[in-house]
Amino acid sequence: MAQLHFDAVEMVQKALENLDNDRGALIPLLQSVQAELGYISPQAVSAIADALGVAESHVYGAATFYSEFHLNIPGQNCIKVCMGTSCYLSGGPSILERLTRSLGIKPGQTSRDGKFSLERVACLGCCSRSPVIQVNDLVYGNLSPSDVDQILTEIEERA
Amino acid sequence: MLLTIDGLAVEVEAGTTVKEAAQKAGVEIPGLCDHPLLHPHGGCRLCLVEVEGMRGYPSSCTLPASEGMAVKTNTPALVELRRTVLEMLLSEHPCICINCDRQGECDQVRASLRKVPRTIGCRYCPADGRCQLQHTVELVGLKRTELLPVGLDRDLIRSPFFDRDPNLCILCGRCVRVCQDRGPAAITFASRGFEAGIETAFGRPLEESGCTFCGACVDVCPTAALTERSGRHGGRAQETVVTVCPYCSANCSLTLEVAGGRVLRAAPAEDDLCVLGRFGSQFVHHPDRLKRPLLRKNGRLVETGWEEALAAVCRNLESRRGMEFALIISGVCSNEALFLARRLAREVMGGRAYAPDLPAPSAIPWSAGFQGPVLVLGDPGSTNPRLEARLLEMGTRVTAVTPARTRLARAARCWLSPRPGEEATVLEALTRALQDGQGAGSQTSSGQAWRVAEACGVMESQFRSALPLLQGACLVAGPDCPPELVQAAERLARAAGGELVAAGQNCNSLGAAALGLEPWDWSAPSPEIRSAYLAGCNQAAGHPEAAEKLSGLDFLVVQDLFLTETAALADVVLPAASFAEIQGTVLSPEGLLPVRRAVAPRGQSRPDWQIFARLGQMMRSSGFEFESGEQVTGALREELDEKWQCWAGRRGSGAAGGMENSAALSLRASSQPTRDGRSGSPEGGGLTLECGPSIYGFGGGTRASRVPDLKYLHDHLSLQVHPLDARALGLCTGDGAILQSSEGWLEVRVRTTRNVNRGTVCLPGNRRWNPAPDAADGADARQGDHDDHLPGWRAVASGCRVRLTPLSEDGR
Ligand code: SF4
Ligand code: SF4
Ligand code: SF4
Ligand code: FES
Repeated sequence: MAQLHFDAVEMVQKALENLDNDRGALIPLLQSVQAELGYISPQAVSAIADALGVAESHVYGAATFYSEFHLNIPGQNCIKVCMGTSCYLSGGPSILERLTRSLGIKPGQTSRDGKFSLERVACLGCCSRSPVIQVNDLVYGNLSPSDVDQILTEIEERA
Repeated sequence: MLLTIDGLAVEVEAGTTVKEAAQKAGVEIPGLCDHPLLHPHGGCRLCLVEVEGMRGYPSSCTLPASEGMAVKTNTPALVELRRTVLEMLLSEHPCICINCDRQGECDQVRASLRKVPRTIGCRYCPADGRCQLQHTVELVGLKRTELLPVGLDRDLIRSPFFDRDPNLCILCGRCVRVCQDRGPAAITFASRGFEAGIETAFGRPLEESGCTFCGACVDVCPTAALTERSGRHGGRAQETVVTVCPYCSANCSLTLEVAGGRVLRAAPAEDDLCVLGRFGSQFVHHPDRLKRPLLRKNGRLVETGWEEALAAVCRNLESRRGMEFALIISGVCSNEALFLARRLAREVMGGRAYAPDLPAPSAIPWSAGFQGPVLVLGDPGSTNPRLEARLLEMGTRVTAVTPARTRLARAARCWLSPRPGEEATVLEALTRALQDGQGAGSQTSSGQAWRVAEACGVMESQFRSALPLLQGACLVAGPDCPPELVQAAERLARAAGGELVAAGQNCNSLGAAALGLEPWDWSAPSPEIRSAYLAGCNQAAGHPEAAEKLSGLDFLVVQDLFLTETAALADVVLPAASFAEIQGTVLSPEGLLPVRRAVAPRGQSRPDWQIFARLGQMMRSSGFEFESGEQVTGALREELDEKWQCWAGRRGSGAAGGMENSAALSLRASSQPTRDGRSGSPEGGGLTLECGPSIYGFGGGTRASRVPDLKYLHDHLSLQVHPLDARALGLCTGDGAILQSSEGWLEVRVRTTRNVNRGTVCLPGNRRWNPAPDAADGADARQGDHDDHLPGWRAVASGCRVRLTPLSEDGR
């Protein structure tokens, strides 16, 4: 962990060199951290806050506001649950609820064993097959909550 | 300028918002995000108005009033709009009461609704009756909502002193803004949509997010989303009393809310408060308060009545008159108590009256109107938080001299950061540079001076940039500055043609100075004292030598609120009444302030002044015949006025050297022993410990340690370690470690921060170190009869060398 902190400080310093050092740099900094790590680590938030002279809460607030930023280490398998209008109306929320219960994590979180992370997304562009979820590159459509556990087992077996 | 609100003409000044103008005209516009303490925000959209000649519906809280404006606040379109906005707001709030068929009848249905742990409607809410959302619903005239409320399933977030119930939050952002305005910015808006909420970074506990527990967020919250726990179920205040905060010398005024003879809570009266003022009054009702006098019989302290206790005091004191008697009383007590104590000590006993918490004799009181440059020593944030706030506002005029990267150091124009214990040397160097060659003029002499400073860890550029900022500067030294530092500051003030302002430790330290009490210091050679009377000071805490001297006395009286380490050594212990139970005055930098009685004295405790008056009478002296506190105030007012004139005369005269008593410069309460090992360099292996005070353990902690959440915060303060040092030791934030000094050891949690220099670790507060194995026998022998407060522990000195060892994984 101590190691991570220094990596984060160095990373932020490097990213800063290409930017103006002011509040406007916040989003580009977050983007470059995410590009590097795949997520926004607490160490990175603290390094960014230090570099810009703002409170950590300020950086965190911005990172949570934009859905493009993740605040958890991505899992080996990333599950995206569609909450677009069509999926929402045809049962998306109950699919999400089932996933939440089976995995024991909420959207935006990663399971303790690091195998799965869960995310809600706006539209996957497969409205005709709603409700859909996407696991890594695969899209599963026309789902009912009872399909969820089977999909999870399938993925685990494949791994 | 003149404008009309719903046809009513109203005259306002430029810069007024339309919402404020309406209020002046007597028209109330609803609004939930607006607050008098905050800048306009325009977030809730409830305060919409129509203005002639303007398109759309601007929000009146952000709209500046202008000449000739014609504002309408109540058109049918506006009413409709507001209802819709409010309805949406309520859809995420328990609005069951609005939709209930038996609205308003619940009091008859069930008598005690507030026992339910979760707020599911107004009658179940701790804010019922003072909620601004309820008020707005009435104002807008909303009777029913069409939108069904979404479920309430978020967990209560507990923190010291107050809880956050996210289910009741309307996201008005008042708390976020007030916290930002005050500096900590501990909380923020997080996420979006239904998920949106107010959070700390990564949802960490507030105590790890830079929160200072000032309570401002609780005060501005319009709903019960933020409510303090104390007094939550204590009912409503029946009475309020405006008085003075009993802790530090910033003398903030506070409002005590009283019900059923108890202080429910303290709220800010006009100033903002810090954690102590806002939440620190609970000690008044602590079960351990002394309720009856105690008398030592056969070696044990046993309860007794006042007559017997006072008779014992009289008998023993009468045979011990003369210079071998000392009365030590601190500025925790009111002027009335100090005045009569002094009279008792000097006129009746023929001895002397001392105070352990006096500001420097040449110092003048802090003046908020000071316009020149300011140099701050130490960390006022840990002793006088509201003074720190005022200094923070002066940011660009401030030079800070402190090893730690305090809030002030970060905000200051210039920050000199010597190694711990070297501050006085840096001040000497500054003085020399100013004296020889007036700063930058003569290269050689100031060159020598900065080399001295450099040896203490200050960079040349910093040193040079500080010099021009010192002409006519006001030097602020808080109670955390050791005597040699105050003396150095005194000399620097003289060289700079400025003045020294010493913030006293306690609420009435200034009063003690004005009444001419003498400085008390255990290490100074004092006349051989054989008997002593201690009031409002716990000298034995953390100071085994003092404890030993006190227990070796022929006769010792202690007068306090609790059975402190010192009281446990006494022959007679007299229970004193607390600040909320007395009528009197304290001296603040703005003049005399009244302390008002809110509740009856606990048990048989009595106001300090009454005890001294009674003793004086019993010892058959004149000058103690007072019927009431006001009479005493009358008797001492003139003396204080005189002293005040003298201070006022010195202010701004540049004559910091008006020293009255240069022989008695060692001033400070020595509950912190003087520094040792100060020349140690970080390279010598090991680390230098900096252990400043913590606001959570104010003073010796006599009162603060009796407020459970203050005690919790104090006992869980982390050891601050520089990230590079932490990496070298393989430690990171949250890890456990053992801190070892020559005096003993302590288990701590580590927090890495750049607020400390490399080679330095910082542990605020007066923590009790476990004695080193070879010292353990001695410590055991000193144990008193009060389990929780063993006088055996010792405060470890700032500047001493320590070793930090990570706790092994399996050792946790
Ligand atoms: S108590 Fe004060 S510092 Fe803490 S969150 Fe509230 S406003 Fe901010
Ligand atoms: S907690 Fe209170 S003050 Fe803060 S946003 Fe919610 S309702 Fe407003
Ligand atoms: S700053 Fe001092 S006087 Fe003001 S509330 Fe805090 S402790 Fe009390
Ligand atoms: S009070 Fe004006 S928008 Fe909230």
